[in-house]
Amino acid sequence: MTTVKELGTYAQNTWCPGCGNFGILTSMKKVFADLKDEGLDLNKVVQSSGIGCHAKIVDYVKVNSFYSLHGRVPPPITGIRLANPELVVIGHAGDGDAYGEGIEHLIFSAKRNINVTFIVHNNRVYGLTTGQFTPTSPAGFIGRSTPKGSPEEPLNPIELMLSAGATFVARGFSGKPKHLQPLIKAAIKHQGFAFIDVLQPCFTFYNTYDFYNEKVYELTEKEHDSSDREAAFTKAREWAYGDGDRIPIGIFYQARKPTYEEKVLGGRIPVKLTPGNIRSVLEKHI
Amino acid sequence: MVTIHPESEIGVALMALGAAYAGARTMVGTSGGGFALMTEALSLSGQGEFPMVLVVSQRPGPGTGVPTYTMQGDLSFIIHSGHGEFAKVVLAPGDADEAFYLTGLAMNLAWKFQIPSFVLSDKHLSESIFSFEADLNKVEPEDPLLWNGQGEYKRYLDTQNGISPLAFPGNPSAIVKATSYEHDEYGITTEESEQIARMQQKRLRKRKTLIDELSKHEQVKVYGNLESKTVLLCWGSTKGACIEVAEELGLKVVQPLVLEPLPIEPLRKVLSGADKIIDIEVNATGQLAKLLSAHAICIDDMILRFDARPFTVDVLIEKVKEVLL
Repeated sequence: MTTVKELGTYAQNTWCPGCGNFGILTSMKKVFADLKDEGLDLNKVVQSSGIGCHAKIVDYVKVNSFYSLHGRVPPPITGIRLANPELVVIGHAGDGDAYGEGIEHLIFSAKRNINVTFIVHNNRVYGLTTGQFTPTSPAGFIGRSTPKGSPEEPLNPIELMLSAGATFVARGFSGKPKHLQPLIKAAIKHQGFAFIDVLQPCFTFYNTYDFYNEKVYELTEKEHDSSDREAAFTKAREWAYGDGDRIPIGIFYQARKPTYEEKVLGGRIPVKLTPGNIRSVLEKHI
Repeated sequence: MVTIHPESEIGVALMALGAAYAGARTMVGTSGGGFALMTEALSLSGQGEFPMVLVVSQRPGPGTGVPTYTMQGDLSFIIHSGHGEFAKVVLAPGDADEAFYLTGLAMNLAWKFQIPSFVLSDKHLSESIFSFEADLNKVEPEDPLLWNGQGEYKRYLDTQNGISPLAFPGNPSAIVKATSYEHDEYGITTEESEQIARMQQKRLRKRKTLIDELSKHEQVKVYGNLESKTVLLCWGSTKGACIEVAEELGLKVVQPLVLEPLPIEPLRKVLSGADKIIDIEVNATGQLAKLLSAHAICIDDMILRFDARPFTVDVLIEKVKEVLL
């Protein structure tokens, strides 16, 4: 049996004590350990991250990684999958990263249905830069750049991803790892763009533990049919990332549709093609 | 070959880096404004040592400028592009023949040195029609330095020539950690002073290795009357008009094919003995002349055209005659 411990690296962990990122890190390692025991070759796994506290996760896990730029996780992981569709690719991003700087890439990843897992560590604050409002901070959020409160309404990423065409849309909570782990596993196994918005308290700059512990509830098959896109929109609107009484977590929507790789590559594996093919193409025309 | 059209130039350049990380040769194409957006990824290519080939076809700027016309106005921008200090190579073909071979060379150099490699063109060259005899065997795809599988894999192994052996994700015995942060040999983030200086030096050592490699290739071309003491100096698509004018007036033409790292010695060699060097460029400030002056190669006269049109032989011959009077 693979243990969580053997998936760590020598990198020193620099997250604050109590950081919600620990819940996500442990869940990732647990999921990788399980998948390895189920027969997945972990050398075929690639993790990518943007910039921010979340991003350090790639230094902390002993698998292949592409530590990208702020907002720029979707394009490299799209390139990785297009070059070698045999790889299992997981992107991590922060809320400022995914919903601010790089929102165009996120929308297009969902629109294309590229076969990757995309996990947003959504603490609704810029933690690494010590507390500014992000696209999912509630209106009125008092941060270093908004001393009088944020004048903007938050984005609802679940609604956004449903509109953009994501074929797996879910929400998790870092404080419920027993719920989060199967969610991540289902996302990795999903064929297509699998998106999880993980609510993650920032213990130092936006401590939302009590808020989430009080309001979060798990979606059940009885209560919600995840194959029904309209029902998913309704569920997504139950909480608009401001106040609210109940916050659903779990799979909002899942459907199997052709992936971008299936359409673009048609079974080809570009890294296995020999370079120099331009010659045969040219010779047909010269 | 797989060709895709992503959401933006930012997306294009970063997808190319992701694909290169996974082991696929990639090339992106753009012009000034699009390349401005790619500079973020270019700098990442420098830090993460991702091979990357960029074809940049210049048009008149600044801003939207005159986007359906031609200019050679982005040479300085390309050479200095990307924040931070890192090696890059800039090749400037002047006709279809050179474009064909230099693009192959650009791909080989990008992978050999794990650096960004430019094919710098312009609208005049990119959208003109040529016919030429292609020698398909002249540029063979060369293998990059691959990891031999011995010991633990280190993506950024510090080597004498600065080049770290490549392995790709999916390799059963390697963990490949690539990163935009300063890092140790394994690819883990570092803020430690000695480590930072060491890695900066390692990457910059590749420039020296690159200069040695480039010396094996033709870097500067000479045409016309080789005995003439008057030289028409040009780069890129301007060579066509320059050669015709030189043949008419009995002058010599010098055209560097490599603009970064600038082939100083080969240029000095072909320019030595010249009484008069006339720099001819399709831009307003004489960017090649400025580049040479930084290496103490002085230009005597400049003939510049910057009305978004290429030089024609009849216009250029009159301008050269004026200068020679």
